[in-house]
Amino acid sequence: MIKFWTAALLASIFVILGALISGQAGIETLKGLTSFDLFQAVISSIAAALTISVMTFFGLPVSTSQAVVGAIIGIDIINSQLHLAGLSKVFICWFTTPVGGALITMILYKILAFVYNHLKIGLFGSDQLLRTCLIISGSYGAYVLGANNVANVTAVFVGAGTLSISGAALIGGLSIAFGNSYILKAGNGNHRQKVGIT
Amino acid sequence: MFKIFFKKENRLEELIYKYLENFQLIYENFEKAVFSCISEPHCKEFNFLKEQTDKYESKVDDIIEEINDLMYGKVLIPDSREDIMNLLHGLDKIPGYLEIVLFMMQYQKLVIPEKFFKDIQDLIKVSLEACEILSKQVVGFIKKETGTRAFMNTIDKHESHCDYIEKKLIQKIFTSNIDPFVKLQLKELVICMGDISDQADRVSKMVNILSMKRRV
Repeated sequence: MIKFWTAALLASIFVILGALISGQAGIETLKGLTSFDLFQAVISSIAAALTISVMTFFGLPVSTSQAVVGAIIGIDIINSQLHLAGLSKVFICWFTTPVGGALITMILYKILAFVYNHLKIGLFGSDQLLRTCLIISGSYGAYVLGANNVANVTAVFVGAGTLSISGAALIGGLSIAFGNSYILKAGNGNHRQKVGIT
Repeated sequence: MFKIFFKKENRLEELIYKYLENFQLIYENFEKAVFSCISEPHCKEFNFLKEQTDKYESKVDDIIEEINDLMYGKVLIPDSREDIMNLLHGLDKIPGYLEIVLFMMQYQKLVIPEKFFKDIQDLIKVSLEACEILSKQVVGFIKKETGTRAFMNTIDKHESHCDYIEKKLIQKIFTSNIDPFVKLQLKELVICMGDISDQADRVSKMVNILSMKRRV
């Protein structure tokens, strides 16, 4: 459908753009949960990465946000400084996100199916439309991935005062972009099938 | 809107229409060839028209080859690719049947007895009408026009009528007092003629399924 490097390049560009343009709010929210020094920030970051690595080893799909927030809570408990107000916001999101995702999907599916079935375009037109939409939705997905996940990668370091928000957004965006391309290229076929690259 | 990014797809669309044009020329030439010869066996025109049919058949093969090259170049999304390939594969069997009928008539030097003229003419006419409708149905499917099911029903009726003529003809052939060897030759010819509408019906049903499948 789309060549590997084209997909990787598009994903990288939009991840970085997402991190730079819309990543700041997420960084500020996660930063609000922390009052770490640099050592604790590094520990929480490694702990989150280890958790995800173990889960990945067992083939379990896990949320990066949950691993990072879990690691932050761990340090907060050690520091005896739980930020309950910020945490409640995060917990509410964890419950509402899947429900919201399911609802939006069902509504969007019905609307788009209606529009698609009533479009006066032929087989080739609809094929071109689907391929264009695939690229647009993939790029949009990469954009929101960058916007939402950059906080997971860098917020603890912003909280520790070692990175500015915009610097964190840039470094986080570049890291995710590099990780995407490298892991997809080095990974097995299943990885690629999951992202629809043929 | 995005046509500039889809050169291969546009080329494929052109090729499919070109294929359908040649498909039409094949059955038109076939009809002329059979009808010119049916009342006047071994007529001069037959060889010319058979050659013309062969020429268009070979052109159709070239088009299919180019389409295959494009398909292996991963043009279209896999789902559409599979649909188009199956459709063309089914459609491409029809020119093959037409060629076999002409081949049998030419090389077996088949002289069709006068008493079978009308039925054979009817069988060919109805079969080719089914092919003509099928061609329209395929265009309608590609352009996402309505009426695919109506076309399918018409082709189905044509196919049933062809089956009826085919059975009637075979019965007539075997109850007649012609040479037993010629009886077998004619039976084979009639069965091959009947295959044309059978295949048209199969492809038409496939188009209908593909058309329903494309609805979300």
